[in-house]
Amino acid sequence: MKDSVQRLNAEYGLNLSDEEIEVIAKQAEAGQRLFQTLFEVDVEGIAPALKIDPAERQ
Amino acid sequence: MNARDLDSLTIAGLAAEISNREISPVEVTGLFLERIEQVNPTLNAYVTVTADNARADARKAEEEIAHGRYRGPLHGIPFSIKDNIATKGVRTTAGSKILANWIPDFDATVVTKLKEAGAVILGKTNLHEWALGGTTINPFYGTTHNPWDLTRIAGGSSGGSAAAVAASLCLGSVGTDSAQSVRNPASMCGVVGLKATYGRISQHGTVAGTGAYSCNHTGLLTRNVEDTALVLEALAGRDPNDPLSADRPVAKYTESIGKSVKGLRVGILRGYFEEVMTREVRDIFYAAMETLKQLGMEIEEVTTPHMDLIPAVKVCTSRVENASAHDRNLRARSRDYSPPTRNAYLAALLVPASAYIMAQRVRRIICDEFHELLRKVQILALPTVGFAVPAIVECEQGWLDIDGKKIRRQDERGGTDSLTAIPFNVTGFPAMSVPCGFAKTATPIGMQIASGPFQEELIFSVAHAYEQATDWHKRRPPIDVS
Repeated sequence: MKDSVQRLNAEYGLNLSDEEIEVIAKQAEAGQRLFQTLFEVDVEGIAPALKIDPAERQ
Repeated sequence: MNARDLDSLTIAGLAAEISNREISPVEVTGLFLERIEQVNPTLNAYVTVTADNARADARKAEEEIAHGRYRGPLHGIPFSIKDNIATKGVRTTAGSKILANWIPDFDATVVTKLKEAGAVILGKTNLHEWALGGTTINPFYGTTHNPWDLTRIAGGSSGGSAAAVAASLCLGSVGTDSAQSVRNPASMCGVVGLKATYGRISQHGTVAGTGAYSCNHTGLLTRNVEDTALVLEALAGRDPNDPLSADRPVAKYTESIGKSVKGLRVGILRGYFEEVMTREVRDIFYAAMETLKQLGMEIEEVTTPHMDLIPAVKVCTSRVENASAHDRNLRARSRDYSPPTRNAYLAALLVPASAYIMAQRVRRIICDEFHELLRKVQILALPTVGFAVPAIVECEQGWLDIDGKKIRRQDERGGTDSLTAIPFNVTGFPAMSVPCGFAKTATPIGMQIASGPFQEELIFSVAHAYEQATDWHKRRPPIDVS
């Protein structure tokens, strides 16, 4: 994840310090762990809930 | 009328006096502006006070009413607007350094509607930076203090709005709620906060990046349930400028006030959020459930199979949708964000698209399960926040005490104070926070009353019945205006 933050740092011209890169990488990793639980759900045949779907507004 | 009388005013009560020409909008506006001048330096609820505009609007209202052109119950009523909602000619900062000097050349639809209804806008209220948090400890515009205890937070992100309503610095406020941001501060400041059904109130003019597109809602803060119904009637409805607004007809919400609630089935929502709920809040909430029972409602405990996944769906959705709105500023002005806010948006840029789509697929499952649940019960209830209002210093240090257990105020699931509120941001179902008691610290506790899409009328009936059976909403914070 640290590599990804470093790439972002270069692409966005952020001038992040090593410490800041570390903090952001840790935060992104924690997110990935949390989101991993979503991939364990059986979503066969389930379409994404998109709010642009007019049915969501009925 | 004097400054002390402001504490007992409500929108419905003042509207009756204004329409009968017993009270002048100019006089009322003057009293509120005086009070803001006295109290705001201590509370920091407003970031911009528009005194000249307010006086001009009040004069116009007075003249119209004198000539028999009364517009309705918001005519001449003093309001505030959260500072992430665009106001033409008035600075709109979104609590950020980046927009510190932005003066929109248009009004948000809710502001247009308030003006058309004849409301008097007193100013713009403080919020968490970019509305991304629940404390309203803002590094650029200062901390908003809780009127009940100045050492404690007002909640957030609409902390300024809630503090202003509680401290009689306005009678109603318009905020936004993408995770908790109307209900949480309403609970912490002892006022009523409504997040209506997704799309019920237009979001046109809410600053992009101050809430995820699919989770954010324009919300209302007032002193009682009837006032909220009055304001929703004026602000709800389809808006051609907001493609996500709902085209359902707007109900006459005030007619649901006083309707019988006997026999209604209420489900106490159980789930993951209980791990950050203190015994004190649980006891106060269950006492409120007893009151609902005495009012003739049937109470049972309910949950849904995928309840535990709500934080993952919410965080994934919010991060991606919010980050997309900040991309340009992150490239050009990343140092104009506070470090925690900038870091959160940068981490969000690393969420894979597959995770976002998976979150939306699981979200549909969760929504279907909530629809199913609401075939068994008509109302859902749970505390608005799991713990009493924290001290500012605790929030700054990042820790909370939950019955002797030290927990982080913010973890990978977001703010711990938002965990009870987010089911209704993920589903888009309407939810209202009403005062339901006081903690040992003499600060307010709130409970949420929620229902299915566009069932606001049911919520109003239940919340109003509860309000009539209690007096929590009538209590006012000990503000010294001598």
